[in-house]
Amino acid sequence: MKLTIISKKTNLWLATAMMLLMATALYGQSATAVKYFTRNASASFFSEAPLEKIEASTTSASSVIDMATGNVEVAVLIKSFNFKKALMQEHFNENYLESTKFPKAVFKGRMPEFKSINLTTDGKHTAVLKGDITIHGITKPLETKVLIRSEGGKIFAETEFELIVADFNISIPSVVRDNIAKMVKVKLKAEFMELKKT
Amino acid sequence: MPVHWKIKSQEMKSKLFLAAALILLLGGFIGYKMWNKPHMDISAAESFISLSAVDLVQAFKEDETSANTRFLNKVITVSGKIAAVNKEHNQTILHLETEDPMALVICNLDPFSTHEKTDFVSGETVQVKGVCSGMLTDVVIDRCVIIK
Repeated sequence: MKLTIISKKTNLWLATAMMLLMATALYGQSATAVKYFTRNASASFFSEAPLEKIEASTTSASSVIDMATGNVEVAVLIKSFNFKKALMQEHFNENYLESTKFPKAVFKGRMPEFKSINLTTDGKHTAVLKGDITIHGITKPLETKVLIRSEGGKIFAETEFELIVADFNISIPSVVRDNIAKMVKVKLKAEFMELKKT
Repeated sequence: MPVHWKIKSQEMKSKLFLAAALILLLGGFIGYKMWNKPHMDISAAESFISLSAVDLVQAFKEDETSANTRFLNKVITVSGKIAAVNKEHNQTILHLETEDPMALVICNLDPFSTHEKTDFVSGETVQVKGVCSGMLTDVVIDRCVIIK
């Protein structure tokens, strides 16, 4: 009889301990279900054709990564791209990208492996990012590899991919067509901060 | 054909040649100038509107499309309190405070201008002039120069 009481008591203890453990586990999970973001990511693109090299960059791209789902969003303002040549910038905005009509380029996708990456210790990781990119009002699928580096509590991400100009309904007049490359190399670089809910 | 005629036509030819060369040179010069057209001098550009960072973000939040038609690609003057200073990618970026901590005004200092002041501290009040590029989570002003 006594024995059974004890065992019942231990059972109760065990149950409470289990519940506590589960609670901490759950709490722990919700604590890691954070979002990382940046508003100062750099985006640049580069293309080389026989006559002219085209290069432009911006440092005000924004991006959010949701740790829990692995969802990634990147957005950039077309008008914020700086070119060395003012004329190129003008043509890029007015004739090719029509940035008044389509002010943003947006990427929405997922990085499924992101969840399993341990970002609390310093290290380098690669993850596949898959999603859709919208430029000039046209949405196309995009898949790229992202280099993720965690260092001293900071998270850095870097990726590079190529886009075909014609995919995005960007018409280039035949006079200059040969001077403008058909492929554009895009580079993204970001340092993420933990998003704190206020 | 009399001799003097020949001379005349030769004179004509050389004159024509000179004119053609001049036109070509001038055309080339204009083309070259156009090709190397400098970026707009932002410090000399006239500001289209002057408003606070709070009002600017408010306008974009209320109606982004109409705010885009109002501000996009226009030179505007924005004043506000510095929330953060960011010196990344060789550029100085000022974040101006608004009522919403998630929607700031981001001022990218003009890479084509020389700035008298490049060191800023949070809490400082500034007035900047620049070109509005639109809104992502924050309103972005590019090519900024400091007014005060």
